[in-house]
Order: sequence, then structure tokens, then C-alpha cells
Amino acid sequence: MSKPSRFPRLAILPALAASGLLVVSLKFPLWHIRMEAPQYQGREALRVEVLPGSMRGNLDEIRVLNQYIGVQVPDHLPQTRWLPVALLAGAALGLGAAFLPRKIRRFAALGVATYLTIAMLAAAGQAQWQMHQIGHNRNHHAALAGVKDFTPPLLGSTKLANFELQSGLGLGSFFIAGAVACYAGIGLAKRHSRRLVPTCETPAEPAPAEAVA
Amino acid sequence: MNNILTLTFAAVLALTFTACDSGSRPQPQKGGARQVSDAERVYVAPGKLDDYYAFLSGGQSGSVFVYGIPSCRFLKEIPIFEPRAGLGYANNPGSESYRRLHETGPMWGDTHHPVLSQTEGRYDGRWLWINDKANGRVARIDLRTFETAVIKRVPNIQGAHGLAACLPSCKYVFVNGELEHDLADSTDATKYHSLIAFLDGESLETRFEVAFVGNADIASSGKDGRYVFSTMYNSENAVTSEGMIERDRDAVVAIDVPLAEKALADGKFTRVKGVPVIKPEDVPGLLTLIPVPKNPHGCNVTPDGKYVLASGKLSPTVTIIDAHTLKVVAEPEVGLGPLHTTFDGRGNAYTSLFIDSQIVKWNIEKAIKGDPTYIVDRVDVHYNVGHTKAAGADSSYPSGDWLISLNKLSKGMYLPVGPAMPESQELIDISGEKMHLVAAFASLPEPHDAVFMPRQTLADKVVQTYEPAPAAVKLGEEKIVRNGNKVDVYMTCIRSKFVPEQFEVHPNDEVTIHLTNVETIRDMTHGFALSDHGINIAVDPGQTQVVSFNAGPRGTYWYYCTWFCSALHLEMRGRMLVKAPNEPLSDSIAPPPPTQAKAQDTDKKASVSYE
Repeated sequence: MSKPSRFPRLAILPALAASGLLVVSLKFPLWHIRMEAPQYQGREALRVEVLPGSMRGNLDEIRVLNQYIGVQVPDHLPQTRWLPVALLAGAALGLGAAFLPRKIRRFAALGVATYLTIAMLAAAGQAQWQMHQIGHNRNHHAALAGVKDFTPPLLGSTKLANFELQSGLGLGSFFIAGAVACYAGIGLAKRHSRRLVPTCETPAEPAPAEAVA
Repeated sequence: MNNILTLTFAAVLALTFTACDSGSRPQPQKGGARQVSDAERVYVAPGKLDDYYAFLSGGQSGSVFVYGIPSCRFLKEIPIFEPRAGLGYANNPGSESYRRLHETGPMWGDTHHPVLSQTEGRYDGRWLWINDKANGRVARIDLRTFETAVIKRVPNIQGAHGLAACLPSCKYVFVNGELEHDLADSTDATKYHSLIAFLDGESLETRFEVAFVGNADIASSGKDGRYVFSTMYNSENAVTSEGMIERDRDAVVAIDVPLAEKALADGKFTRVKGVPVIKPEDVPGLLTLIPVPKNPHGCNVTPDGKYVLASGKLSPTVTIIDAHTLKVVAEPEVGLGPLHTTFDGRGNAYTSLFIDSQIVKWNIEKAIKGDPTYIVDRVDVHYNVGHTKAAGADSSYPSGDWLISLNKLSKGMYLPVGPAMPESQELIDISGEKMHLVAAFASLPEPHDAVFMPRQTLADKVVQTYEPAPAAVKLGEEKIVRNGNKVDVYMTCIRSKFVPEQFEVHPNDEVTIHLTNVETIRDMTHGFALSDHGINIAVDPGQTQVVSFNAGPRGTYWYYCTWFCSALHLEMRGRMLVKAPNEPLSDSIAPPPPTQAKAQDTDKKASVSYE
């Protein structure tokens, strides 16, 4: 009876799920910001969504508006170049880790979780810097006078000129968080958890009646 | 709260005025609580939406007016048969709207009868058709954009008057060529005929026409695809007004549409100016004349399709005709000068009484049975009502809540604005047993007829922006193309800039601007006006408009945006530089470099000196 051979099977399911979440997250927004003003209310509120590999939303309109306050919205975010690769690499590494021997696997899975966490924090940090740059590195000869430097919120809400800005995490971020949790789960799983998956070699024996009593 | 009270009070005052006779001082009315309730019924708070669009024909304005109901707020004028410089419609020979209108006839029209497309007895929000009585034309408006999509001259007819869609399919719209003439273009009155033309509902190409003696007036369609109806006067074939009223009886004309199509397929027609014209004598059963009192006017099929009602005009009666057997079943008296009849879907008819200046509500089945209590109610309107229309009355499912009275005279209803007073419409609540007049509103001259469209029908159909056409100019692809003295400028606009901001031409060059509005959100229309050239166009988001003009003599001519668009609206302008014939021209679309720097320096010096 080779007990270690059962562990990969147990670990593959969450690893598969985690890797799947990472792949799926490529198609979902990590972050979004909603901009509402008297002229842009309800369904007409402006919205930007950042996906791991792209940015979408009312970018044209936001660029038009930003010309009045001298803000330059970048065509591409640098994160969108490396983040998809980082997430796919994490998915591959995480899946590979599930097949490693138990002792190494636990460390490997924790390593992948840590790696993904650092990657996301790096992306968020970069985004925070970009937010600061957008609001401070402006063309101060722009048309509208009286607009002070600002930093759009990475999370939360604020008021900018006539706009209410509200930003938050998107579904993609939660998928990635789920993946990190799965890898962390694999890494932190105790050995006795194998009981959850009884095999033919070790059939689960019914508990003695007196034990129940 | 104070604002609401003020508005309510203002509305009450307005109603008090509308209820007063011409020339008398407004008097406090009894039943103040009821009046407040009326005001509340038509009050739609800012930002809130009306329940209905009301499309009113513009009459001699050649357009369609769009109002919100119940607030009676004016929403839009849709120009059709007449240029509107303010809207950039058909006001320069280079524009598509100009070419389309010009090639169909005069640059003016007289719109009478707006007709909404239907599917399975309900308004479907696709199209609105309208006639031009003066010039034999019919137009189709696309309700996705509220703009004119097609205009067609209907061959062989004069006086395109009654207009209706053939129900239930709207495969055809049919229009009455009211004014008789000889199809061979002689002036011999004994050869005069009138025509009813059947047009393809989408393209408005004339498919066939039916000719007969007498004048086809107002049109209405049966609901089952067989008969269409028209009131007919002047069976005398006279050419004087006295002669047209000699006989005691005229008719309602019923045309068997499937039979006409069969005659068309069998070749039983004569082709006149390219259009198959069918004569009733060649096709027995094609046309049935149903005798009614002389010179009838309104022709209205009931929502259930059972009856067609001919309003007597000179007779105080409405003739009720079985729409299937074509037999007259009753002829109740309703009042003096009955012109048009509309319906609430609960078995009641509402007939406008031109001479009595009233709307009379009466019950159709009671009138048929001879029950003397068929008259339900009367309400005074101000004054001389022509058409009247209840919400949904042309469909199979009237909503039975609102009715509009389109009055010919307003007398003292409004502040006097000269000898000619504003045209006036009144809104009447018909949801109860008794009618109740709740509001009046003025308009440009002169709505003839109206039709209501529930807001929900168009909720998802009205487009936010135009899909860019293949000929649209893209951002970054602006250019100037020269061919001899013809100059094409491919230009874009977006807040707050035209690109290019200048172009160069020689005196009297023929210039064509192809201007695309590259905005991506709704309501961000830009205009293009060119100083001293009489040019103004409007370009909606995503739309491309073309404008042509002669460059004129040497000089600098500014073009600028005429639709206030942004904080830099005034700065949204550019220059047409008309250079001397021997001066070289630049084709660059880059922003002009030089002079601004100098101007800025001047500004700085000035600001320093102020400090």
C-alpha cells in the first residue's frame, strides 16, 4: 500500500480548481471605477474596468473630459503586459505542485500562493502609483482652472470636480483570491485529511455501535 | 415643497384660463380640489418621463412635432418637407437631406396625417408615415432616430391627403390622391379621376393605384387585411364648391385589397407613368361605394375592426357601416359638424364637432340598437376642433386614458401675439364616464392630426448614437483632397475641436466638408456654421454630414460649433483661409503653429502689468 500516491489525487482537485480560477480570471475585471456626475447619472455613469490583460469602458469619453483638467489617461497599463503571464505561470506552477511528493508539495503550494499574493500586491502598488501620477502629473496649462491635484481612490469613493468616483475590486480579483486560498489550503492541509477520500485499499470501516452510543 | 405648490398653483391658473371664454376675465372656479387634481395629473416633474409620445403633424410647417403626454411638453420637431437651418436639415445642396427632398419636389410641404406602424394590432415602434398634401408625397420616419428616412413622390396623384397603413401587416401604406385630374394631363374636367395609391410600407415605392370618379378624403384600414376605406365627396365631379354639394349622398369607398393584388397579377391594369393603375370597371368587386350623407369627412375603423365610421361634416350624423358586409347599420345624430371619430376600447366613440366646438362621447352599440341614451357626454373645446385622437385608437388596443383635441382657433386662450393666435390643442381625460378637459398647449402652425405612442414601446429602440457609416471620417484620418477647383475636406469633431482647425482654398473653389462627429455618448451634437456663407449643419454623435458651398472671395472665414457642447464651446472653431489665386495652398491638417505664442506673450505682459 503506497499511501503517498493518494495525496496527489486529493491535491489535484483544489489545484485544478485554483488553476482554472486563474485562467478564468483573465476574462474578468480585477478592478473597476464608476464615475457619476449630474450629466452622467444612472446608466450613463462612466465606468472603467481593468482586466489582467486589458482596460475597457468609457475610455474615449473620459479622455475627452480629461483634456479640460490636463489628465493623461494611458492607452495601456503596464500591468496588463505582465499580469496575464504571471497568472498563467501561477496556474501552471500550482498545478505542477500538486504532483510533487507531499513534503515538497506543501512548500511548493505555499510558494505559489505567496508568489500570486506578491504579484497582485505589486500590480496594486503599481496601480496606486499610477493613480497618483494621473492626478498629479497633469498638464497645468489645461483649460479648467481651479482643479487641485488629486488621487483617484484605488478602493472606496471620493469626489473630484463634479464627479463622484467609486472604485472596487472586480470578480477577477475574487477568482484570484480563491485560487490563492486553494493553494494555501493545499500547503496547509494536515496529513489526516486523506480520510476525506477513502480508497479501495483502505475502506472506511463502520464505527462500532457502542462507540456511537 | 414651495416649488411644488407654486407649480401646482400655476397649473391651476392655466386651467382656469383655458376654461374661460374668449374675452372674459378668468374667474375662480368651483371645485378647487378637482382642479388641483387635474394639475397633478398633467404635472411631470423635471427629470421624470411622460407616459406617451404624441406625434402631431406640423401642417404647413411641413414637419412632425413631438410632445410628451400628459405634460404637453414640446420635445422635438422632425423636419421633413421643409429645410430647417437650425437643425441643419436640407439647407444646403451638398447634404443628403437636401438632395432627397429636392429630387422629390418643392422645398415645402403640408403634413396632415401621422400613421404609426403596427404588428399584430399594436404599435411596434418602427416607423411613422406622414403625407404631404400639397405635393403628392409620403415620408417615412425611422423611430430609432426620429429622423426622416425616406421621402417619395407618389406618381399620378395630386393632394396626397388621407393616409393609413393596410392592417394588419402594414405591407402597404395607402394614400388618397384627393384632387382629381386627368391622368393624361389634359385639362378636360370630364376626364378627371382621383386615385388611391398603395405604396410599399418600407421603400414607399408605389405598387399600384386605383382610379375612380370623386374625391378620396380620409383613409382608414380594416383590421383583417381585406378592405381599406376612404370617405369620398364630390361624386358630382364638379370643380366648384357649390357643385360639390349638389347631391344629397356621397360615399364611403371600400377597396378589396386582395382583389386588387389579383388584378395586378392578372395584368388588369394600365400603366401610367410607370405605375399600374387599376380601374374598378375592369375588376368587379374591387371598389364598393357605400352611400352616406353628402360630403363626409372622417373615416375611422373601430379598434375591434367591426365597423367603419364616416363622420358627416355637413350632416350632424356619423354613419356606422359594417366593415365586413359593407352595409350601413346606423346613422346616429351626434351634433353639428362631426369631423373625426376616435375610440377608447370600451365601446365608446368620441367625435369632434367642428361647429359645436365640442367632443361628444357616444356608445356605438347603443346607437346601433337605437337606444336613445347613446350620447354619454359632451365637453367644450376651444375652438372649432378638427381632428381628435385617443391614445392607441388606431391600433386594436386603445388605452382609453387620454384624448387630444386639435383645435383650429384659439381666440383668447393665450396671451395675444398679434392678429394670428397660437394654434391650440387640448388634452382630455377620458378614463372616466365623464370626459374632463385638463390642459391646453400651443404649437406652431398647424397640427392636423396626432397619434400617441406609449413610452415603453420605444424604450429600447431609440438609438443613443449613430453607428458610424462606411463614409465616416475616423479620428486621425482627416485629410484635404483637391481636384481642380473642387476641394473635399474630410473633417472630424469632438469636444472641443474640429480637425483640421484650418484649411486653405482659392477664391470660388467648390468646397465640400465631410464632417463626422466622433463623440461616443448621446446628446453631444456639434454644429458647423461658416461665417458669411449661410451654412449651418448639425452632426449627432457618430453621424456624418456633408455640406457644400462656394468658397467666395479672398479672406479669413471662421467656422464654429453651433450646438453648445462644452466649456470650450466658443473655442471650438477653425478657419477657412481663402488665399489669392497665385498663393500656394497647404494640405496640412496639423494645428496651425505660429501666432499663438506671440499672443500668449502679450497675455503674460498684460497680466504682469495688471499685477
